[in-house]
Amino acid sequence: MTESAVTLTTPPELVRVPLVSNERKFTWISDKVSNIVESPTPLWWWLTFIPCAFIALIGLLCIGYQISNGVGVWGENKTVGWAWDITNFVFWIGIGHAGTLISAILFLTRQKWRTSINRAAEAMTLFAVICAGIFPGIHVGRVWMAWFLAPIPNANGIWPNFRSPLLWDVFAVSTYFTVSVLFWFTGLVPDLATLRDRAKSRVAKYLYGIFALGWRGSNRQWRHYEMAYLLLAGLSTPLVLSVHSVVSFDFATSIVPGWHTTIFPPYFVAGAIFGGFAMVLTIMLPSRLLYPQLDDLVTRQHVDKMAKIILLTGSIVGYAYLTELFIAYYGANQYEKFTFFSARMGIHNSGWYSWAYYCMMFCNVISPQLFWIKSMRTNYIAVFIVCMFVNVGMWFERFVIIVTSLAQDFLPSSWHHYHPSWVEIWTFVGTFGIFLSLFLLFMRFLPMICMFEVKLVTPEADPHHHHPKKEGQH
Amino acid sequence: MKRIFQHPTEPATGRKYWRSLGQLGDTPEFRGWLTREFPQGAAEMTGGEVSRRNFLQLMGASMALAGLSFAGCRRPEKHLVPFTRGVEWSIPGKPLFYTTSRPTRRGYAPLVATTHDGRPTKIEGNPLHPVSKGTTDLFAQSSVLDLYDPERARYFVKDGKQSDGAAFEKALDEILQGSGDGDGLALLLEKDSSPTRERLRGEIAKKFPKATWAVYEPLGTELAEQAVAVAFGEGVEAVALIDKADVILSLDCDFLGIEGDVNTIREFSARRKVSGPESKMNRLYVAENRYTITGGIADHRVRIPVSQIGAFALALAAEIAVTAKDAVLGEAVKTFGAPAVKFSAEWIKYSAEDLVASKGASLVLAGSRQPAAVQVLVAAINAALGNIGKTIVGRKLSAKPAQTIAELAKDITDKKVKTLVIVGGNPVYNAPSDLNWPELQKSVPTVIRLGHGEDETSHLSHWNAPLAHYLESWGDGLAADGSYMSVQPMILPLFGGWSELDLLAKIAGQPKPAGPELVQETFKAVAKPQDFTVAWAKFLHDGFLADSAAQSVALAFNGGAAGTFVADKSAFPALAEDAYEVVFTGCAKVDDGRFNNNGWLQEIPDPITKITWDNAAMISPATAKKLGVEDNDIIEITVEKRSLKVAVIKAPGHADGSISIALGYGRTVVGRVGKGTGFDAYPLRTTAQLYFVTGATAKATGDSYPLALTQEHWALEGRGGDLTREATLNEYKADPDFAKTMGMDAHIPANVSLYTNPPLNSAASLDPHAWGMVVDLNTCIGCSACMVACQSENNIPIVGKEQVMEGREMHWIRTDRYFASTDENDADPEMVSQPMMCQHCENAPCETVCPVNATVHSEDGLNVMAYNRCIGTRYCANNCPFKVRRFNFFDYNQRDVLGHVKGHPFTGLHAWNLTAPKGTEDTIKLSKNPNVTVRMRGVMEKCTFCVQRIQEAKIATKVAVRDSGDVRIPADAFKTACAQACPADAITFGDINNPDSAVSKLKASERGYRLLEYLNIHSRVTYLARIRNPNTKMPGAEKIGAAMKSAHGHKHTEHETGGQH
Amino acid sequence: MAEYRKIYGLGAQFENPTALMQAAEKIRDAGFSKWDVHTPFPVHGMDKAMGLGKSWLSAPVLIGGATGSLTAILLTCIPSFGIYPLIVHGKPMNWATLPAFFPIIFELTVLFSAFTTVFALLIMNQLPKWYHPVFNWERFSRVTDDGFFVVIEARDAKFSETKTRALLEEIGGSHVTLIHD
Repeated sequence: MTESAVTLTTPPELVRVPLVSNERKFTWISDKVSNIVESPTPLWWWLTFIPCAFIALIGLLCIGYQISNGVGVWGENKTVGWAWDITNFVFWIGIGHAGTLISAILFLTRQKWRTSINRAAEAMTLFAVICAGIFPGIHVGRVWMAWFLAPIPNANGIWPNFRSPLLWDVFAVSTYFTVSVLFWFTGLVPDLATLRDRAKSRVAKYLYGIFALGWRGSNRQWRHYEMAYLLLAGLSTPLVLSVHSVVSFDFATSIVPGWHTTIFPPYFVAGAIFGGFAMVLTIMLPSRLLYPQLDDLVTRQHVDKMAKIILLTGSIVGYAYLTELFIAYYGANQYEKFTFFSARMGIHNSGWYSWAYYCMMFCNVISPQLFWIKSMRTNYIAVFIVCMFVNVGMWFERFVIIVTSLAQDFLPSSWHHYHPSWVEIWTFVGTFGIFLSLFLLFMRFLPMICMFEVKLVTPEADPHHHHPKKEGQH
Repeated sequence: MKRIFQHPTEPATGRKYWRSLGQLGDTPEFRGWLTREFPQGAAEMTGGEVSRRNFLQLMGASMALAGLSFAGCRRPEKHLVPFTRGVEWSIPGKPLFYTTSRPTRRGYAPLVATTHDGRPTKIEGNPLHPVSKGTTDLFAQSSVLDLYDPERARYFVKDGKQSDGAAFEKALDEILQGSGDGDGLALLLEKDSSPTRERLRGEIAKKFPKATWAVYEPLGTELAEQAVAVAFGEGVEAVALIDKADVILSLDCDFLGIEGDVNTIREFSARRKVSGPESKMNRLYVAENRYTITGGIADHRVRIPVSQIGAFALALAAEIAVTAKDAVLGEAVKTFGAPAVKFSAEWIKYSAEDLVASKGASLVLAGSRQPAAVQVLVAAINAALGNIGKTIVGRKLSAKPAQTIAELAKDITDKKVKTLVIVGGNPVYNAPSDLNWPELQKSVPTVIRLGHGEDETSHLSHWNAPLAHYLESWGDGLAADGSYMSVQPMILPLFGGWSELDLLAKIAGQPKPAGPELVQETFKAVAKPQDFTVAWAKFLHDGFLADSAAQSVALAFNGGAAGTFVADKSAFPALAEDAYEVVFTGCAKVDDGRFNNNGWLQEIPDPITKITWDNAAMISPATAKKLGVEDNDIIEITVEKRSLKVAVIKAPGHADGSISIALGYGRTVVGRVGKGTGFDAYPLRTTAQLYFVTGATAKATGDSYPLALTQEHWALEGRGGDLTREATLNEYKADPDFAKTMGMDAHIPANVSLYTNPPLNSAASLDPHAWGMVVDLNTCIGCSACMVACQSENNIPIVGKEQVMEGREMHWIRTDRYFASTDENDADPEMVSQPMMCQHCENAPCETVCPVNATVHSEDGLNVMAYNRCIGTRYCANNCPFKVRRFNFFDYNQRDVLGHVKGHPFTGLHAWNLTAPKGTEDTIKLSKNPNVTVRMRGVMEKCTFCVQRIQEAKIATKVAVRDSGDVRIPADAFKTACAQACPADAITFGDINNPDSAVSKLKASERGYRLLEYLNIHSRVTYLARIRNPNTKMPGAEKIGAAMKSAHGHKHTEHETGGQH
Repeated sequence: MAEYRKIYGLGAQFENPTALMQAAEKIRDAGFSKWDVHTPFPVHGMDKAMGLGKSWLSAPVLIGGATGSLTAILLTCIPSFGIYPLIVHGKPMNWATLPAFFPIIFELTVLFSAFTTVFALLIMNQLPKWYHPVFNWERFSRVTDDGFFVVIEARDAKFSETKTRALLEEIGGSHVTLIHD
């Protein structure tokens, strides 16, 4: 509360920049946020939604073709058993970390600035996890037998192998998705009530009313509500850290040089936050452009803070890269050495995919260093460009880890190049279509910004706030 | 209670297979067999093996019945005919084994065929016969697929119109009536040693004295025969006893590959076996233009263009003449001009020294493609080395001379030939180009062809009759050692084909034989048995006539004749700077093209180049640089007016200025398998220069052609010390345990485990066995017979060229081939072959990652796959350090693997499954091993150590021991398919818990090492390090094995090497 | 008509959280028990002002989490070395293999806890409840925007339409309205 306690004794340099600019009133917040949903569908929305939905459709067709014909329609081979499929999976699941991280960890650490972005970020998380979930689902050879993964015996009484990292994935990802949905919905209820109470049409009133569960903002409700939110945040925090750790176990627990690395869990989690924040900004900056009325809610200091986090996590990732190299050198294992120095860095020009490695290095380690400069952190264009680099770089990180390690492993006789097929490429593009379509629907029908939390961080929300005597607004 | 079974009449809409059965059904005795519930003569069966003749007929009948029942499988409404009273010995679901033999250029290969319900499904060697000793080559292994080739000749065809056997017989009789004394009647056959054929040839000669009898083999040995005739006189053949030689020098003779057979391989590898540091090894010097299997295993190898081999031999001869002080050889050498080319003096000096040093126990071999003069010279060298009668013995020549195709061609040009009968072969495709055979054949009024499949020749013939496969017909022949072999049918001709003997008998004026009577007649003449029935039964049972091997005759080297023969031979000119020599080699896979339509062989990678589905021009990297081409680029080779466009592949260790092209590809009329594979080099061949041409020009065309290689990368990347361990014999003597401390094993720490592994084959285990394998890199030559054996045993599908290029071949066992050298650009790297199959790690990395427990360990230590549990995450393959797991990316057994059309994205395997046709050829179904699951798409598969054989052995043992609990299978009671096939005896499989088993003895060898020990995977496959036996004086001797001493090659005795026990 | 409908209670609106808080304290001191304040967002310190203790929601969550862990342990251990032991990667077939199951145990713990949290919340707040008398008060719709309300229920022993109305007006409540059921 203290940051909003502006007293005459406080020297000006210690005055904190308010999270909501121009001292907006509660109604103003409700109006601006709800208007997005209530006003008629703008043209740009259709112009973006239709192409996105079309791309999503192409992706779904590719998936259908692949399932009916077999994994052979992709470019994988006897040596490179995983390629774009798992790369995309890890890429999307990584992006799916930002939302819960913002809502949970920043909540526990009392980072109030999260309030204006957590709703959109959480939605993004869910959609990213949906896209991620597609790939492990369809990459198996016999999709119709995927139910063998469920923790139940089959007709022969065989159970799944609980020692397999892939099965851990099943548990981790499904848990993560479920908890994120619960967390997200819990946060939505009071705002749905707002929409319910503002709704003009009966249909909207009923629909929002149903999902608002009859919320009446009574303090006896708020009391349990805040406890529940706190608990969910507390649960999500270790969860969000565990999910990408478990994903990293897919590699870390294997014996493939380049996969078999103990630093993977922290390195993957840092990478996930890194990529996730980049994606949040990639989505947020344009939508901010489309809804200028939100300028006072999503301010430069939000972008600045997120840029700082990108700089931090990006540097952690870069540190992990260097650690890998050092261990490969220090470990004196010729196979590990080859993977890192030859296959990846291309020393002795024997690296087939070193271009991907250097692309990753530039995007993930070099480009974020721009954020040491404050003017860059608050320059939307610069931030957007760096975030784009990071998105690309994080995809390549997974590609490098998965493909270069497999393509050139222990026995040179079985080394084999990998080339993606058009099906793989379009399936990946399709998931972007799915992701964006879902996000556009979300923007259209749900409050993008958590109104009650934003109100909470305005000065007036503080019961000890000195209210200038003014005419009661009726 | 004799019930009459009414055999249903053949429906008009019958499937093609019915045609043969139906046709067969028309023959009265077959009706007899069918209509009686239990066949006639079954009573005679009581004599056990005695009445095998009837038994075979019986099997024939039961096959017919089975055949109908297969028809039932295809068409459920048809009548199934159960063995209500089983045919004797035939237990449904249990295989029956029959001996037979397979005709090859080098004589009949002794075989045992496995039949399930009358279907031959697997070929093994005949363990009783000294030539085979139970081993086979990849041609024998794959021959079963030829039998079931859905694109075999199926009908009698008259001028392109379908006819039938009766009409053919009638037409044949008419033609023969018209042929009078045989003037204008000509037969063109393949080389064959069948005594019955010789007998019929005699009878035909009696009936048609003027008839022409010509024999043509594209890869013949006529030059060698000529040379032998000159050097040792007519009527004998010279046979090299490789196992008797301590020092062997091969001059362009691939005696372990295309110029050899299982016998030569075994004889050689017998002398490479190393039981301990003190054991003796032979030493092999090879001079050749390209890496061959023989060159790959050699101790010393020199790259020389084929056209220079003569000069090399001459230089060698001169050296030996001096060292051995041999006048005759000296004379012979003088008659040549001094060689125009210079060779490494030390190489010749010290190899000559070595040869002379082991006089009488040395052997110099010349390739059959070398000019007769060179071969005579080599005979002289051997004479000078006193090898005649020791390592080279004489043997009576059985074959009588026949006309050559050139002579026949002349007759045809002179319009002397009215009727031409072509049995087998494919002259239109592979006759020397200067004969212009297609035109000649067109000019003959009547051409009758008995052929295995529809091919170039059959298209230019008037009558085409389907040739019966050797597994379908009676016959006989001589093995490589001259012993008398039997050929007996496993199955009635699938498509009513005629055997060669059937046709010759008709021409000889006899009725087409219904059974073995022709052969029996010959047998009587050859064996002169007291009791025919017993002798014949034994003959069929053993597969050959005991001690009938050709008796050896003394060889006398005729120096004078040799001298005069070589006297007028010109010297050997050096290669011109911009001219190339083109060498035509037999293909290790499709031979001379006859196996071009065999999918297994097409997909087996070439042992040297690892190319599948194609051939290519092998050239040295230097030559490629000179021509400015890379792999897959197309060059145009021009010899005189004849030219050929062919894709190149850079072959390390290839002689510069020389181009080697495998024959047998680029067929124009062939089935879907062979269609569009490779490049046809036959047009470059002329009668004068059949095996190599000089003075060819070559230039890059700028086009390229994709080659499908199963191994993209041939360098060892400094991992030789870890993966393919090797030392010289001296190093081995100095440090017998060298293999244990090479590579990573030099410094891996002891493995400390928090827990104890679950019981594998311990007292606590339910299963007393522990299956393991040992692969001896010292004897493995990389011939790939194991790969085809595995493919045949385990129903492994072919995936087609497109999929191989994608890197999705399905072979469960592969032979890795590395070119190893400390210097990346070394023109003379050493070649290493390493068979690689599932290592059945006790701590298998593939198992823990499988989310559904589809791959786990069995109590007897097998890493087992449950196909119907697998969902295909491919995680196990990723985590397999040996990459031996194979994934069914498509439904290879059900979909069209050959149907991909270039430029059409949705063809072949990519055709949308919901609309594309599904299923497999019925004949291919017949070829499957019923004991092995046929895998569907989306599941992982891999080597199972032939678990079906293990289970059969277990069951048999349990049955044998009855109630006594000792269910341990006797040592070495059975082998895996690869181990059984291996002619070099490099693969040993068995129970490592059983101290008496061969495998457990070999595991104790100090040469033994396990791959990637540092991963603590405890693999069940042990490799025995390769030992080379170089002559330390030779140039390049110091290089040998250097590449295998990787960074960690030094010994760390202070370290405890992990996982050793 | 309103006259015939049962009275639910009295509602009053306040201008801002500060006013509301002071009002709440007074009502608390007046000894009311069946009453509540309604705000667009949780007002911190209001619990104390209303004399409410800390929410005890965490208790059921603890139980839920424990159930999750136990379920996971049984789920993984019973098949792996109970009813269907398999030799996998030479790993032990007893409790020594438990570390391999930690991820699953953790995930299920979280999953069960999260579900308990949400369902406990719904139960304790008696949600969903789509009808409630306060919704009959048309001003009340501003509670989700910027309205701060106090509602004292008629069920309260101290409730008296006149006195309570007076109290509410005295402590600064505006728009004091009788809410019918």
